[in-house]
Amino acid sequence: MHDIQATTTDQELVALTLQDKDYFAHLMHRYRQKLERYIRRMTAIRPMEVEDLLQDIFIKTYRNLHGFDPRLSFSSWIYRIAHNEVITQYRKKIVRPEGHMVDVEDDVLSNLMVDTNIHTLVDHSFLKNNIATLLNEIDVKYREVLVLKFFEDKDYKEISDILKKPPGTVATLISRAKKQLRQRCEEHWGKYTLV
Amino acid sequence: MSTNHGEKLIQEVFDRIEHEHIRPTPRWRFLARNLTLWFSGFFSVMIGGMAISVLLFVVDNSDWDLYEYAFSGVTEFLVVMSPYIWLISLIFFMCVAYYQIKHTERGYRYNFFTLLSVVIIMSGMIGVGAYSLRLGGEIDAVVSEYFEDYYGESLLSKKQQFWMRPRQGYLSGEVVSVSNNNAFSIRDWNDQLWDISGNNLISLRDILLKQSDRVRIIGVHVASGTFRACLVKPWIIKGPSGYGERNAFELRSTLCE
Repeated sequence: MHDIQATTTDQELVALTLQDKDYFAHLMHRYRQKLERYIRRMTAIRPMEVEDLLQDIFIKTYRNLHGFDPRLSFSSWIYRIAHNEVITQYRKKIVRPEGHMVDVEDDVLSNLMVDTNIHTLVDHSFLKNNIATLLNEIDVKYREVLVLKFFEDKDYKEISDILKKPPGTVATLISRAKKQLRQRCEEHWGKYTLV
Repeated sequence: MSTNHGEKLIQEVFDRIEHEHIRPTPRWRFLARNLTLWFSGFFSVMIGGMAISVLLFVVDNSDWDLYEYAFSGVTEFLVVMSPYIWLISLIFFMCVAYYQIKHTERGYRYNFFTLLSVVIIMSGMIGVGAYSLRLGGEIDAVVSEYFEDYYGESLLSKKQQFWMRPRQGYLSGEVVSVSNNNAFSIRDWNDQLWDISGNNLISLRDILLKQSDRVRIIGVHVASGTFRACLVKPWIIKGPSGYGERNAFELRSTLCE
C-alpha cells in the first residue's frame, strides 16, 4: 500500500482503479484529509455530516472516473467535485454557507494578512482567533476563492479548473475578495487591536 | 477525523459501491455529451450564419434609394422594414451557441467577450459567405414557402406588393416597348399592360430605357392602364441569380416635385 502511495501518480491510480476498484482506496487516502479540511472551511456542519458529504464526493468521483480529463490535474478535478457538492448542500439549505478554519498554519495566515493589507489593522494572533468570523462575513463567491488560494494553496489555473471559470475572472474575484475582506476587517475591528 | 475514522469512511464508500452496484459511467457517455455540445453549438452558429445571410439580403434589397418617397423619414423606414424575425433568430442562436460552447469540457476557460466574439465572427463569416453564394434570397424564399403562417411572405413577394400599388403611385414591371424615355410601355407582374408617359423625364446617367428592362416607377395613376411617371429606376434584386440584374439607369422629372 505504502509503495503504491509513494510511487504512483494520480493519473496512474485512476487508470488502475478503472481496472480494479480496490485501487480507489489509494486515491481516497490521498485526498480524504484535504477534502475534509476544505469542507469544514466552507461549511459549518457536524463531523458526522462531514463524513456523509465526503462519502458522496468519493462516490461521485468513482462514478465519473471515465469523465476525468487527463489534461487537468486530478487534484483540481476532485476539488471541483467537492466544490459542487458543497454548493449543492447550500442550495438544499442543508448547511449554512459558513465555515470554520481548521489547521491554519502561521505562514498561511501571514501571507493572507500581507496580501490583503490586514496586517495594518490587526495583529497575527488576533486574526488567528477570528479568521473564521472574518471569512464568514464576506460573500460566498469571494470566500471560496480565498480559501482555495490561501488555505488550499491552489494557483490561479487550478482555481480556474476547480470553479470552471476563466483565469481572468478568477483573478478579478481574488482581487475583489481581498478588498472585501479588508473592508469587513475595518468595519468590525478597525485598528484598535494593534498595540 | 482520525486514521481509524478514515479507514471506516473508505470502507463505507466501498460498501456503498457494492450495495448500490455503482459502476463508473461508461466513457462513451462523456464523449457523446461533449460531442453533442460541440455539434449543437456549431449548428447554432450555422443557423446564425444563415440568419445573417438573409439579413444582408433584406438590407441590400430594402429600396434605400427610394425610402423618402414612401416613408416620412429614416426612422419610420427602419421600423417598417426591419427584418425582426431574423434579428431575433440571430440573437437567439448566438446565445444558444455561446451557451453550448461554454459548457464543453474546456469552454469555461474563455471569458464572455472572447467566446461571444468568436461565435459572432464565425456566424458572420458563414453569413457573408452564404450571401455571396446568393443563398440569402433562397433561404428567405424557402422559409416563406414552408412557414408562411409564421414567417409571412418572402422579401420578393413583399417588394412586388409594395411596387404594385398604382393608385398610390407605385408601379413596377418589365418594359415591353420604348418610343423614348418619356413614352414607353410595361407589363406589370400581374401581366397587365401599362402605357407610361413621362413629364420631361431626364436620364441622369445618359442611359436609355430598352425593352426587357425591369423597372420601378413612382408617379401618378391616370386611368386603368395609364400611368404618368416622375421617377423611373431599375427593378433590382441583389444577391440570388435569376431575379434580375443591376442596371444603372435613372429617369427623373423635376416637374413632379
